[in-house]
Amino acid sequence: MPQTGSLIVRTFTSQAQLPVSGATVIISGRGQDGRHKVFSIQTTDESGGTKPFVLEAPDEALSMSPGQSTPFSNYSLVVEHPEYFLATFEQLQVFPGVETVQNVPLVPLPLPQSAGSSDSAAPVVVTPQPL
Amino acid sequence: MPITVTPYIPQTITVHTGPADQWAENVTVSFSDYIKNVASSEVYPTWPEAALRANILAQVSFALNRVYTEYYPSRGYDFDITGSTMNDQKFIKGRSIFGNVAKLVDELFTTYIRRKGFVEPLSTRFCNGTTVTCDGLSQWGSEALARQGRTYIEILRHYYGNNIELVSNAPIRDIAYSYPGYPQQNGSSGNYITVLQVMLNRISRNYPAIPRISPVDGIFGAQTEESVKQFQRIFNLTPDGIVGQATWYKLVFLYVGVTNLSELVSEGQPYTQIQGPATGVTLQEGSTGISVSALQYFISIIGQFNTSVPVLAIDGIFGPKTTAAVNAVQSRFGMPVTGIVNQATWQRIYDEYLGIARTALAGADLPTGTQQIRQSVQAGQFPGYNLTYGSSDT
Repeated sequence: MPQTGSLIVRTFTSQAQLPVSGATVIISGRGQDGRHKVFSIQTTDESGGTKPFVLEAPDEALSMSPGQSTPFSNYSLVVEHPEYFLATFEQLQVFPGVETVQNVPLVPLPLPQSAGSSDSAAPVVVTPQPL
Repeated sequence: MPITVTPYIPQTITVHTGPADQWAENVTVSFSDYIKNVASSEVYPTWPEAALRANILAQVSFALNRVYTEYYPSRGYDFDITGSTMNDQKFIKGRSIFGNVAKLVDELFTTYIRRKGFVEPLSTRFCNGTTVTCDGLSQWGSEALARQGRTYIEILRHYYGNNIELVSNAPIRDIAYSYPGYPQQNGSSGNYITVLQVMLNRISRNYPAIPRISPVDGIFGAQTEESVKQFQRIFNLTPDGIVGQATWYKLVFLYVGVTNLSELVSEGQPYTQIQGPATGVTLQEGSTGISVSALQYFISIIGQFNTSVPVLAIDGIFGPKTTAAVNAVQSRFGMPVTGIVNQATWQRIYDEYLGIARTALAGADLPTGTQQIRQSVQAGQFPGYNLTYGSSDT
């Protein structure tokens, strides 16, 4: 019986955390057959939030003693809005029965958009706990 | 006679995201967000609560010790702590955090460990206890002790000795409105509730899902309770309608963030018409004047939207802090890091400012060109954008 955890995403801009509505939020990762697939897509609401994404996670026992296989599932998250730098997150951790919360601060694109310059921010990569 | 300085909780902490002696980005975050990040980066959220509490308290104390002793600033560095596990604790800029860990941190970030008879927060070393061992807390050991039914205090005493004690509710430095000390809820009244209602109403301007409270009367009734619940739902706090420490400080940090941005935006009105340096002319350390003020203003606006770019005092004097900020901007935008503003750097900074003015701050109706400014001045209505609380909130 596979276990699940959840992922909550909230998008905003600036230290004042002004909400960014209408951003596309894409969750992807490897399925059980090892192939990459998109698990879910949502659009942020007027408060910059989404409904919780419910995602598969491994057995909780794996996190209870050292030297076992990885006790969390990894997912990728992409947040797109035409007026902001693309935000990407790699190796997001989802543990069974735990809520993972990803705040997504979006940075406005410069104007005019100079040709050839990247419209993506550097990805956030969640490296494993040093356990 | 030694002077005793009382330890405090800093509002923000600056983290160097690599080893101290190597170049890496500095990131400034609120202290509670820093601990949430560290706790999520160091241990598994599925561990028993007593183990999580013991680890969080060790992480808080370790960071406060670094701040209190000015460990890095006293060695000439411009940050408080590193995100490297070699010397400090793990921090990953922008990472996700775990809901249960965040709730524990909201409760514990003003609590630290010290030795009885000593003032300073304990330098609470820790390591994983399997591949690395040390004279301090073993992370896996704490998990095993919690599973055996030990409390977090017993776990901390096991590793740091019996002569430790916890200091709770340490003061947060320079906070605009300190937590009243006990939860505010339906039936409460007084000045704290007036402040609460003003903050909620200000935030509801950007978050229309939060119902506005009218009138602002200092009485916590059903209307205030509903606004609090909606605020808690949006910001992933327990939606119980009760304003405890976590909800109070989340509100204050957001309110301060919004008012800082508003004040900065209104402060900068005179600078949006300043032309950049002509070809061959540069702004650099030692330069003064209104074009330096304009530069500081544009960088500060960008700093509101990029945690790696600092917000500057707008004084028209190009000093070391402005140089450091220009370096940060050039690094952020992939330009040669010179600390000197030539036409190309000015243009890049202005383009970024323009992007912000026309998207995220579009509602602010910022003037973005000299023509537009001239027109609005001629019309006799300078497009002021003052968001400080007042008229419509009180």
